[in-house]
Amino acid sequence: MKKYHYITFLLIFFLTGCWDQHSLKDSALVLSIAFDQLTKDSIKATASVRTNISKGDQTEATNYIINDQGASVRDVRNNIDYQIPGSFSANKLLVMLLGENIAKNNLYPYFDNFFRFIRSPLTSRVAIVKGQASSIIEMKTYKDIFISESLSEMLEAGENISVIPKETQETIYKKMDDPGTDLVLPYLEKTDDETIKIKGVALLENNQFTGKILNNKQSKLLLLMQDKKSHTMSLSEQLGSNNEVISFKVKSIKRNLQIKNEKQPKVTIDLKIKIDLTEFTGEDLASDIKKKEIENKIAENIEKELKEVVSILQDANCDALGIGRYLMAYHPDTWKKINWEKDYSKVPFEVNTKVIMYTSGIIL
Amino acid sequence: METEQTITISKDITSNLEKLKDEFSNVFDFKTRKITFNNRPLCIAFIDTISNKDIINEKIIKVLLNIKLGNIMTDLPVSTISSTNCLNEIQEALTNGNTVLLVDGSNEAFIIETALFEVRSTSEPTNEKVVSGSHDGFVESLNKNINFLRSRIRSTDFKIEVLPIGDPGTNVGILYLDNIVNKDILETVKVRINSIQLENNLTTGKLEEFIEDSSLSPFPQILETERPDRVISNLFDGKICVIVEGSPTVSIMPASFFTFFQTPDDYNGRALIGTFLRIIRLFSFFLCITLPAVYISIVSFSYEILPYELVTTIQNSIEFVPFSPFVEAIIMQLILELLREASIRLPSPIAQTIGIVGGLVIGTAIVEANLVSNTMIVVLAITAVASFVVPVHEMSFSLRLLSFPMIILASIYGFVGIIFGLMLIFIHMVKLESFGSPYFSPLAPIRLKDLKDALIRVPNWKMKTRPTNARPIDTIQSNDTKGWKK
Amino acid sequence: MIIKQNETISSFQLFFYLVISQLNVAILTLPMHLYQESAYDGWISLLLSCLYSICTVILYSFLLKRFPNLTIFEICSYFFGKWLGGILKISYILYFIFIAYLINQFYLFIFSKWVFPNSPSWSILLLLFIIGIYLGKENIRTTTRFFQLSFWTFLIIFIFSVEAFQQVEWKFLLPVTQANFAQIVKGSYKSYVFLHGFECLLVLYPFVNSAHRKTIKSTILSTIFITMINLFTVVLCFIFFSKKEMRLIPEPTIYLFKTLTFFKELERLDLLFLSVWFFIIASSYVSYLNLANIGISNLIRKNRIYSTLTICFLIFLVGNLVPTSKGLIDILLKILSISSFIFIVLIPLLILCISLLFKLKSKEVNVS
Repeated sequence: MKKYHYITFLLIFFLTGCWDQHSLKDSALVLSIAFDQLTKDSIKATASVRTNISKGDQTEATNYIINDQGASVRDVRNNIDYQIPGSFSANKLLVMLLGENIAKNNLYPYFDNFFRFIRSPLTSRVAIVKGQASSIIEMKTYKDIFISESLSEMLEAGENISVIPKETQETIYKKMDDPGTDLVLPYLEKTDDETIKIKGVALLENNQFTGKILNNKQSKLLLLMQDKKSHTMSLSEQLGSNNEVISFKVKSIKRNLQIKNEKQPKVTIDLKIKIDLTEFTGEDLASDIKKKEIENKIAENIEKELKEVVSILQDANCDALGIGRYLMAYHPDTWKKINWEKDYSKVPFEVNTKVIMYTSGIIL
Repeated sequence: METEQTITISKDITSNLEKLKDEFSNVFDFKTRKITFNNRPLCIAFIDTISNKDIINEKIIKVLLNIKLGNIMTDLPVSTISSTNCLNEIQEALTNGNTVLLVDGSNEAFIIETALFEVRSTSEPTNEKVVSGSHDGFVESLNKNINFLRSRIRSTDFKIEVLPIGDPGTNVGILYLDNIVNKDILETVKVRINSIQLENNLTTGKLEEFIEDSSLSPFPQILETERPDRVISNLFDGKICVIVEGSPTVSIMPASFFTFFQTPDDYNGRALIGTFLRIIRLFSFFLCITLPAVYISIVSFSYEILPYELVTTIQNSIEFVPFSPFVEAIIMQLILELLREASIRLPSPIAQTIGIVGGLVIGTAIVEANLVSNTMIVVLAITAVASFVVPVHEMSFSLRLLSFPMIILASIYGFVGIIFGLMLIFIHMVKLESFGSPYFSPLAPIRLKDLKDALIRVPNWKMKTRPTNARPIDTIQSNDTKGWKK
Repeated sequence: MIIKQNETISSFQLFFYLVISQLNVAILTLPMHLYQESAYDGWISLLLSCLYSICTVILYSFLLKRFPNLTIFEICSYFFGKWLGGILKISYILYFIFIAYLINQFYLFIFSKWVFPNSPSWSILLLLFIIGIYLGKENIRTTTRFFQLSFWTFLIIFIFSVEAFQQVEWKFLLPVTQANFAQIVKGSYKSYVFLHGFECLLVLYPFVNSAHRKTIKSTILSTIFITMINLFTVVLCFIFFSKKEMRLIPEPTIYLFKTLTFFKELERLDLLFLSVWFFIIASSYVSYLNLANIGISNLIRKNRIYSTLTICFLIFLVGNLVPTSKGLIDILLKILSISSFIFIVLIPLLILCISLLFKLKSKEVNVS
């Protein structure tokens, strides 16, 4: 009896397929997924799965597109699983796309599955797409790179040039419940059969897409106001008189956000930007006076555009700057009295900009 | 050694010779020569193959024939001469290569040392090469080995005790520095060595197994080496060195885990380089044990850890392999062990070929036949290289052995299994004691003063105290070595 | 108590033992418990409970100074005679076994949720069981040596959370004192329960062959050290997670690592973190086993191996048969909070009072 026990005990160690093994070979690697609203109760998911085909003695990577519908994210995932070889593994999900229509609902239910499942990484990027999100995934490859990689690299590059904020599933989760901040998400559009463009950022209010977006330039300015410049940010301004165009790189930002709290909160934003000139189509800048003139003109232009951005934000009732969070932290009594949903659009904003030119390239 | 009845020799030379010839019957190299000295027959007996014929011819026979009369004890120009009347001692002396003079009419025989055992000339040991440092190595003769050591330590504190152990006795030498060594440890070593009762030949390996604290542990507790410079620096740390006649490998005890990761290169090179090399060696310890296990747990359990490009590459390479990663790893490790074992026995020209065969055939062809995946070969090649980084051969073997249970644990439990295995190994090492000193010091128990030589190598002018591993009685090793710097 | 020469430890080594016994599974769920009581001011509760711990250690200091060579078990029988003292001894032993069992259950609960969702519970418990048998039967000196090794794994928290500071929102902590004072005090009681571990001093004191002040100094240092680590974790969780997340996530520390990458090279850091943390969980488990062993060897003159085997096997069995769920953990925590208060504070306080009143002390006995 004892020897028998030892043998079974030993044999346990040769079980090479133990309970929690989640073998790489049997996984269908889903690298990007897109959700669209089909009817009121069902959503459609399109996923791009990475596999290998063998050509002779080499294996080559390829991907295939699969879609299905279901009542919720987990449901549609199970439904897709019935169609594919291997098991659906979104463990290395790179990009999650949401169609316009589906984003107009509260976003939280679509993320719940990802937050509960231990294997999902919460580092995949999220973007809202104009029209049907599945149309982008169904392109299969974009500019000869697989659609998931190219989307993720496009979004990453967009973050680097400070057009869109870096929003992953985790950062979204955090901001979803914060009554003092609202989300802005990157906005993609498939302009024709061969091109996908970043059109700006989509404004959300209370986790629902308002339908309003900021275009690329305005979203850069929004990031400027939020003090979230990434590696580089370049802007171009038209300077009125002779249609001179000036392009510059923002080198550093100093932002001072103050909320004065008399009867009502009033927001003052003081921006001091240091720029590096990259292009000037007008006459040369040899004189200092001319430089000062240019700086002032740029500051005027930027101030005007910033006011536009703020009015669009207030219009959409989207508190992207986190004013509510400020109030909660520094003026908790005011926060308790205020109804932020209604009062946000009435808050007067004042924006002051000052521009200092640092260098102007290698010529004057 | 059993004490037999002391049989004495008689005064009659012929009967003595008869007794000796009886004992040495069927021994073709037992030679005798009869001459006359002091007007009496004198017989010179020796064993031909192990006696120094120069001494016998020049110093004994020539002198005796020249002086014809005199006192043997005082007139022979030989370095050692003693007399005995015990037959056992005469036989023992003969088998040790000495010459025996039997005098008719006296029951005292004279024993003259004329031993000449063949030794090979010294050469650098092949599996303990260093870049800078001495390049000589021990040989099989106890005397010559002691010669190497004495030439470097010229001090009266360098004590050497030689005991014959076993039956027939093999000479075992115990060497230590009297003013540094800890007397308790010395006592323990002597007691353990003296209690060996062996009727077989004694080699270093057997000796170590007899006196070790735990022979079943995968980790060696006694350092084996063939280099004199290693022995010297360990003697100055208060350790004890044991040399067995007939083996070029000497044992140094007590040894701790970190002793196996030190080489003379560290101390002869620059301090920064020494530190860097130490860290690499300790890192290779981890790599050798855990790398195949980590790979298996990543591929089987949680490939999400890697960046997605790596994931797709690995998926590419394992797509058409029929075996699970666990079986792949076992196959490859076994093949590597076979290759390694084979390459020891091959003469060098064929060894080159086997290297190419191993590399090309096994590496490339096996991947193309889809028996093992590409990435697995990379992982195991790195593991194999890492295991050879360890300076001491025994320890590197133990590490390779330990990687097998880690592979098994990783394929059952994933990462937690690897940590579990590491825990078991560390618990074992912490419990292990080598002659009373903890095996894993100075990390457990933490001894801050010893850390300067275990994980890193501080410059030599900072090493003021000896490591406490061997509990030396004199811990200050140098007072001020940079006196010129004020 | 007769202590062999090769079983003593120094005060430096005592530090490591105490750190390991205080650092266990609690740190993983502490932020949520603190949040439940005192919202974003939980870190103040934590500092308060550190103060309580230091006071308790000072209490022990007075008590143990009067009984330099006795463990708590012998103090009990010295004071309360054979029968009552015997009952107290057994209850202390059961208390230590209970904490070891609690660590076991916690470990099972967390690992079966995060790491091994499909494995049966006996396979998860088997790992802890084997380590318990292998290390639990050793004497104090060997286990402390091992703890000096496993101590360094706490650095993993700091290494992995480097990237977290890019995503934190310090404003969550402001304004200070969002919660009122009563809630903060309630929170500090709750975290005091989680910070226990220094009661090992009651058993280990005779084994330490250093001066009294050094021993107490290293105990207080270990408490402060643990508080610092916990403070770091709690504050990091508070500034990282929003209100909704703090309410919903039962183990914020692990969830934190799930969302981070290690310089974009490694993801899923929670798995790596938990694997490395297993070191500390197992070491903590063994430390309590050791204490229970000393108690049992005080009671019955049997070999340590048998007592270790029995305790480990019992815990293994009970852990398997009782299904783990959140409800069970809550019940266990309630029992812990009551029993720890009794055994850590009440009984030593009682003994100290009686000893001061009746001026009872024990003679200094030399270590043989």
